[in-house]
Amino acid sequence: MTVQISGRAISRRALLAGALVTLAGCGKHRRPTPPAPVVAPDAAALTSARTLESLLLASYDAKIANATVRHRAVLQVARAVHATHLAALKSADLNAPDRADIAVETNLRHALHGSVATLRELSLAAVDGTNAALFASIAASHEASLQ
Amino acid sequence: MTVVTALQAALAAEYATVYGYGVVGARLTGADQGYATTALEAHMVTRDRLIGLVSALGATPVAALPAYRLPFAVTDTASAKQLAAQLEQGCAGAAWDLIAASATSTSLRSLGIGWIADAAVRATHWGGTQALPGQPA
Repeated sequence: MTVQISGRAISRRALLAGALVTLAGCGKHRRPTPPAPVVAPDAAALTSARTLESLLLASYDAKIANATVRHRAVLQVARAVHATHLAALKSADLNAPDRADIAVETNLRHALHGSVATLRELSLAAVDGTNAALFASIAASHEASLQ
Repeated sequence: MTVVTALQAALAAEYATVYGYGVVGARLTGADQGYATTALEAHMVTRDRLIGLVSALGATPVAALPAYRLPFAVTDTASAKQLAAQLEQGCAGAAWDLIAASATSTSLRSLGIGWIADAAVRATHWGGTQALPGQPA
């Protein structure tokens, strides 16, 4: 059997061969559809909260390095609380990076005070209820430590 | 958990806390007793607020129990402070649930955020510091 294309007669075998080449070409260049990225609810808020906690941890480390032995023990207990906060925030967002590059705030009270307001805002705006409760709980812990 | 369920649980916690602070206050003196009295008054305000919120949502507020079993005997200042810390931690737990149940940017969530902070501050005052106040075990 022959097929007329643009006035030229092409055999069925030629047509099939052409189709196979075309299909092979498609297979070669076609990329698999990438899976849709899994975005945790409140991802940006979780990142902000983690950055806050990382900042506080770095600030505690700086204080601890220059503290007396007695004061160091107190600071290390407080630091452990913030390490717990950071761990909780990381477990709420499995895509979280291990560490963020942050500046050190030398005034701990100032850093804690500022973090309370930010965490409260994050809690209020959180889409996921558990994230909202986590932000509020950390804010409450910071507020309690300011007393 | 629905908002009404969370509010009812918070109300039940406040009833127990108001009762408990009566026991606590009787074992404290001076500044500690003053702090306990202020805390008791704050919890009574919260209790009344919760009754109003539950009613506004068309539900019947849970009633207080005639009496509450204390988790341990309160015989001195130390055990009174321990009970106060435990009561506040319970309130923080109720506030956590309320925040989790409430919708984004609502006045209810805002109230919960305030309540969990108040409870954490008072628990810390009584020596019951928690890294994550109210978080379910």
